[in-house]
Amino acid sequence: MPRRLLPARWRTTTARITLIVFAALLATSALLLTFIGRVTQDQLFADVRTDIAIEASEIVANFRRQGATAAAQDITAELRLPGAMAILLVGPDGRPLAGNLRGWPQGLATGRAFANAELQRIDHPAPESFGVSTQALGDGYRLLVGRSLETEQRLTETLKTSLLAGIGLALVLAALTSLLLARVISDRVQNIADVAAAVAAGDLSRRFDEPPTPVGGDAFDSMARALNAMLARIETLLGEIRMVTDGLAHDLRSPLTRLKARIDRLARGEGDPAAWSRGDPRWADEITAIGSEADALLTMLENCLEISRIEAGIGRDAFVLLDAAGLARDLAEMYEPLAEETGVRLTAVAAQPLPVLAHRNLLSRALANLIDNALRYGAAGGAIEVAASTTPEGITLSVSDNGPGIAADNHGEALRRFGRIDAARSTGGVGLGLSLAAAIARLHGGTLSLSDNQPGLKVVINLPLTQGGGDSRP
Amino acid sequence: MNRILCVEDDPMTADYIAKGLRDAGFAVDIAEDGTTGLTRASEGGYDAIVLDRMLPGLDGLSIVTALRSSGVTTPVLMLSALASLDERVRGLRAGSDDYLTKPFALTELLARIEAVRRRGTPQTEAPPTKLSCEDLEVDLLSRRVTRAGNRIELQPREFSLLEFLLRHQGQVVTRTMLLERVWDYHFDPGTNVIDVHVSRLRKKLDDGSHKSLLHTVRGAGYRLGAY
Repeated sequence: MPRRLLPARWRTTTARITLIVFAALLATSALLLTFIGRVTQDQLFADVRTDIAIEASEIVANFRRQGATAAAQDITAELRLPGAMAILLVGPDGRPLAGNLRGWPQGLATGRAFANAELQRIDHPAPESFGVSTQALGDGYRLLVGRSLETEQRLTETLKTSLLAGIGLALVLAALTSLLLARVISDRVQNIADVAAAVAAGDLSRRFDEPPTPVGGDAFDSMARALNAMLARIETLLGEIRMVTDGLAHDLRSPLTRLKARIDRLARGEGDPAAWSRGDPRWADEITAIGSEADALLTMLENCLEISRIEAGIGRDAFVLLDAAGLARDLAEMYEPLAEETGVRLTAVAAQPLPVLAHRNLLSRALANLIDNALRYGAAGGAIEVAASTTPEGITLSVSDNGPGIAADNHGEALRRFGRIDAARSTGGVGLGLSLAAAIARLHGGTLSLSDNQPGLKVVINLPLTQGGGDSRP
Repeated sequence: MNRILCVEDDPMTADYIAKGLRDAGFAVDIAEDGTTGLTRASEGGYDAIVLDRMLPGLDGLSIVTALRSSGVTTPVLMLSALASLDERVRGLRAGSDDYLTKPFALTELLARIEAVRRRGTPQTEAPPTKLSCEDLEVDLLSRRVTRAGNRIELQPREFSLLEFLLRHQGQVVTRTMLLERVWDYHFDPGTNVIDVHVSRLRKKLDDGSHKSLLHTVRGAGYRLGAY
């Protein structure tokens, strides 16, 4: 998805991530701090109420027991000491009997359990904020008990300041965290974008950053591993294609050069002493030779295409149940006259029927290639054996000769497309024969292997009895 | 006069085919696209149709299918760059009489046109049980082969080879045709596998006779006949 990797695009993504993380962090800390503030404040005011309730209940008890005068004296005594309390006892006529207030505050009802009020105490220069409780004591007497909220308000102020500072700090931390997180994510994404761009530009050796351990890690690590595996596979496949095209180009060069030389010779003018006239018997031979060169080139191309088709798995739908032994006998019979002419004894060892699900034409072609190769390179041994037999795993088709063979070290190279053992093996554009046969074996879910026939070469195609899902890849 | 319709969109290939066919004595019409090809072919009057598989307008397979379903039995030789056996089977199933992959030699094309053209003539009588050429006689039922009365022993494959050559006597038969029709292999077995089989058969046929019946046609294939 190159679109996703466009800088502007992921910059927006980074911004979004930053914003979301920032908002989440900020909201969390704000909620937490508000909660702390609220709880602390509640507790402070609860203490004030308790103080007021205790003071009021003492005065009320005294009033009930000993009457208004005693209660008033008690209040006066109480207020002699400096404190945070505001007390006022008023008589039925509304005049103050005792207390440190000049009069009943305006607008303050009787019977309030707790209220806030601005009161100015006697001897105090300014009104202060009080938590106040009022009650009627009977016979028109009324009592007001209050406690200054100054301390609490100071505490609340301090709390508010520190909470705001906390929120400020959280803001900074949230911003830093979100930026860092976005940076980490965008760096990983940027690495992926950079590598992808480099690969797109043609550098297939580039790989994504990936932890050294083969398992574990985060989603980015597993993505990097998966993408790296994909790149490795693509690189291998491209390498193979390059090898094939290089090999093809190489193999095409010599016959094409020969072809051009022949045509040039015929195209030379009449005046050229080296030129052959049309009447020259060599003229016709030359034309035939040119035709053969062109045919060899076409065969090579056709084989190359065929291998690609087979490796793509094309042909599996044409599998039929056939007798592999009969197939081997038919091919031996087809090549037998040619073998005899070459001075080679070609024998088929394929007695009992061997039913197998296979592509008749392709399997025949594979075996034909092997016999043809044996005749070309192993004829010196004088004998070629085509055999078909069963094994516990399936069936085996083999072609053995007593020729010079191929050194064990070179077996792998011989099976590669355009792999060459020596110059002789690659002449005439048949270098593809073995790899075509190997590709056909793989199409059938089987294998092709080379072994030493002591002396000579033995090529064995093993086909499994149960087919399907065979790996046709090289 | 034998008339051939060539439906081929590539002018160079069309010219190459037309020239080759005209040299061989045919009158050739060229249609450069599928629709024209189908129209001309439906009008009839052709001995054979050389039909390219891939054409602008209407492809070769559709043309054959259309011709056959409208009752036109003119022999069709399909040309295609698609070489695989499966493609070949598709071409033949659609109703063409033969399938030739590009690139092809002109001799191959001529031999095959000759073959499909003769196949196209309706056979009214029952298929023959005896084939002959000059003093060579073959009984298809008893599989007895004689030349001037002398018995010739043939291997089963040699017999099939001879039978095919006899059925196409007088015509040029290419190696590929033999490989496809006698061995039923659709690949090039390399070297001169077929040549050796033919020369073996020739040796057996000509044994004790001063006149060869099986001729090699240079650069093309073989022909069975008196000369």
